[in-house]
Amino acid sequence: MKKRASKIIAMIMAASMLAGCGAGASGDSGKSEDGKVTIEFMHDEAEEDRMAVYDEIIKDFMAENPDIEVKQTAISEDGFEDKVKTLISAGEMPAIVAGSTSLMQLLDGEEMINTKANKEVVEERGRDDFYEQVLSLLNAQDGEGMIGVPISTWVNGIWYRKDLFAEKGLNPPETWEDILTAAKTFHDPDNKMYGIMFGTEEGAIAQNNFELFAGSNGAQLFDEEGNVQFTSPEMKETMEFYKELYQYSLPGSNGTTQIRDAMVGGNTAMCVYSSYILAPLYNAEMGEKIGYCVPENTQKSVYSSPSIYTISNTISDEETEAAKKFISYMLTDEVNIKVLHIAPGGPQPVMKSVAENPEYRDADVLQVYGEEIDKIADALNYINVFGTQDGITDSHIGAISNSMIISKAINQILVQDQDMDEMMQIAQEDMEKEISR
Amino acid sequence: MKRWKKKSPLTMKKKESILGFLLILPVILLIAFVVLYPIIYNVKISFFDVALNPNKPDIFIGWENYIDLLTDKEFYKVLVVTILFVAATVILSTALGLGVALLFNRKFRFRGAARALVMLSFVTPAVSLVYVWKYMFNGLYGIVNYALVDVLHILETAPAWFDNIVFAFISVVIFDTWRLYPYAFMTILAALQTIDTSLYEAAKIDGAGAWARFRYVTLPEIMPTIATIATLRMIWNFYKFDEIYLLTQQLPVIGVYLYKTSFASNDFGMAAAITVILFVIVMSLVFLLRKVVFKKNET
Repeated sequence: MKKRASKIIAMIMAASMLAGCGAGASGDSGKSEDGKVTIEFMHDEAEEDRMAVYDEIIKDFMAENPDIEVKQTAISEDGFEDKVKTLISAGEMPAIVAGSTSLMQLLDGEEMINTKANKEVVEERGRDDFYEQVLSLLNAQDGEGMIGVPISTWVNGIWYRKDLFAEKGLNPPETWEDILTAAKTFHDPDNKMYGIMFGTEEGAIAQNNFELFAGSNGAQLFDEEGNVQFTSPEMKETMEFYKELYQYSLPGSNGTTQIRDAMVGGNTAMCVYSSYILAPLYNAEMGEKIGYCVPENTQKSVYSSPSIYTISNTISDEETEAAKKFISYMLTDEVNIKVLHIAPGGPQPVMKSVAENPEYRDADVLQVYGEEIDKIADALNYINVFGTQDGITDSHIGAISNSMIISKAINQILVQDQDMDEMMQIAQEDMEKEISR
Repeated sequence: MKRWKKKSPLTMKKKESILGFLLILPVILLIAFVVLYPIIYNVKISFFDVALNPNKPDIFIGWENYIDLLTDKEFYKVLVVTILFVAATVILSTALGLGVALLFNRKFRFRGAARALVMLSFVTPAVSLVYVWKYMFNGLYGIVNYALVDVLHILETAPAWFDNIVFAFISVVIFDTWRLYPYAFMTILAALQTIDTSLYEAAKIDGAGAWARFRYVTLPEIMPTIATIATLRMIWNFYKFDEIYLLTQQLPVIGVYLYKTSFASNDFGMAAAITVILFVIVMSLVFLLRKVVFKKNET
């Protein structure tokens, strides 16, 4: 009797344990018992105030669409892409993932995206209203669909102190020559003043800052056959220029914190940064003194990274339709402006109608910068990023960007003072290896 | 009926053993599920080229990941740096913890408050501490550069502390020692308080001085504790990632190498092969350490 009882106890305990494990493994997307379609929406804006805005948007959407339930999952930006990759490899990709182009390119390479559904959402909103250069970054490898739907985009460029440039009688830093002259003029490290600040750390910022200058010199990462050409004359010329500029910068591995702090603290008159610098400069009451330039050597060029929503191809048809409805809702002027106003100035509109909408322009931050905001909007016409040429994106660029090969080379050449030709050759070979994997 | 065929009834002791086994069975299953399964799965995928998409097949590549890894010069460089880092931090944090524990193992005013203060670096989240350190060494407004360059004029310009591999190594070792010595302090202090005071009295009667009392009474008594701390710290620091990665990109240790392989390059098969090799290395070191320390202690 005692033996039998102990067996039963053990079996109940084991069964309850396994039941617990099973419950945790079930997915969040699907049709619930009350007939509602539930979709998971994963993004990287985990700050409390930002999540509150998304909560409100989702609540309004669900009120308009009572048969759909949207579950918001916010992951902090630092661990976001790793978390997405982990979920994917566990077969639990959410219905909608918001992220960068490099992440979506990777997901597209893994055939995890419903490229057709994304394209349908864009076409329903009207292709003509989107900035063409933004859409050109989002073509899928199949040549037909899209890797995601753009909601906003940040753009980098050269931010400079108009007041200090005027004092010294310098031209705005547009051409390489003007940029170098200004950097030399302002560089005074004894008084903690540096000619220019830009990304040199082994991280994404170093690569996208370099792309700004490489693009303005007409350098492309791939040739027409898809071969890497990191050692091309245009690329080397850009690196030479970059090396020269670095002499007038704060030594060391500089990232977003160092660049932003130097600009806000008045330790530099010029920096390369994304549009997310507008808010900190506005908060430091420097907005009126700031100018924006698109650099130009052989052509004008900026780097831009759209925030994209993509629909998973691992969900049911009903969930796909619900996901399309939700993204279309996010593209309506009113809702899109709400998203853009979470951090005014940082994310730029991807639709011309929103950029011209007085309601969008109404934010205090944008008012202070005046005509510079028009220049930023205009910069979207000069987007030029590694891996995308004539609207065709090379399938390996996501893996190359994620592996940080280019930023490592930049850091080695500038900060570690390694031989430029040797480091560029190593980076070239590493990228070739990455492609052949 | 032959005697050997007769089924002997279970003794009370055997019955209790079976009941005990059945009661711990759920825990055994749980451990098998959360510990053994991942280990076996990890060994399995180390022989595959793993696709990120679970619907795509993983490709069996045999020993290729292991061959690539063991012929990669970078791996050996990373291994040497990691061993140096582990040796430096384990020795320094244990020695500092021991020293502070000896100082605090006596009565003085505000002892409780002082002990709590010592624990501060250990209980504060690593990310917060890393950012404080990075601000301290910041080239524009860091207190370290301000003191060395602007006040004391020891340096002409602020060095890029975390960019030079030697400076980066020293900075990370100092940070890790400072952050983790309270763990050694706390554990050794607890061990010190269990030592019978009559041993010290007997040693004093025998004419032992302070050093002799430490050498022949204190040290043998706390050696198992020190060995445990050193073993655990060695395992933890071997795979250290967060603090190092946040402080500098210039210190190639195993944790960072693994992260870059698995997430930046999405090569999960290779990452699994690295962990299998590391598992063998770390377990060998642990067995060696424990064998040496305990054997010495027994003698």
